[in-house]
Amino acid sequence: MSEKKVKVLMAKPGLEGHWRGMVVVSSALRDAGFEVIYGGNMMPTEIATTAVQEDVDVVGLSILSANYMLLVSQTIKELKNHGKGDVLVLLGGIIYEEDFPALERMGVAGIFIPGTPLQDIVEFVRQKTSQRVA
Amino acid sequence: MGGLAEAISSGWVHREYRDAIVEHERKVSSGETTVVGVNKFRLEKEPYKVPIFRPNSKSPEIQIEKLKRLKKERDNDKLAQALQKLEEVTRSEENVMPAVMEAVKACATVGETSNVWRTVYEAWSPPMIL
Repeated sequence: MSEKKVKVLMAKPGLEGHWRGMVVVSSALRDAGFEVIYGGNMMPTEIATTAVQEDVDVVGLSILSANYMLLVSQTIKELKNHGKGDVLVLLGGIIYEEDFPALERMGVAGIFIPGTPLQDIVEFVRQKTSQRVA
Repeated sequence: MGGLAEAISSGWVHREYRDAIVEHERKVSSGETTVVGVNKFRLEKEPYKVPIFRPNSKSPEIQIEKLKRLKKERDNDKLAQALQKLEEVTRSEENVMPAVMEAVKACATVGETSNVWRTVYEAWSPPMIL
């Protein structure tokens, strides 16, 4: 087991500015002991290069637009192109349940819609990242 | 505090914003604040199916095509002059709106107009301190 803190990059691909959810989740993850990098709005390429530079374990995406299928697939493609295909990808926002299977096939490990208790997100990240370290 | 501009650049506004939403979230999860449908009177199952809006997956390509056509067909000399004027006015710290109107009439895009300001000032990142 490593002493290294689990590093999480939180970012919004695209241009919309609904920060609220991401700020709340970022604060909860930080309070739970994770090292959180708050990226704000970033293009998929920026997310990938930041994930590499900061050597993160988790990338949390927050999307409140209807365009998430495209933005998520572009971001995951860029992460793979930058050799970061092994990172844990999480998605939060207004996501339709019928899209969950397709998003999971793309490589999204966890999807969190409004109303998800923060503790559930923290537990999910903790569990998934401890499996990775072990 | 030195006015709103100072309050924003010092990070005060964003810290207040963050503290307020984190506190609200705490109250909702503890039950101190009721939000119907979130922490009270929740339905286990949706009573009806809400039709889902699906954006046209070709929208980005269509939009890029339109933009390319606009850039080809507009009077680019007139546009260059308008953007030059906008930069001068911006540096003079006078009201930029008339110059913006001229640029827009010359078919300047939002990106081209904003890039003038990104050249004069630095791009600003919101001070969202965690």
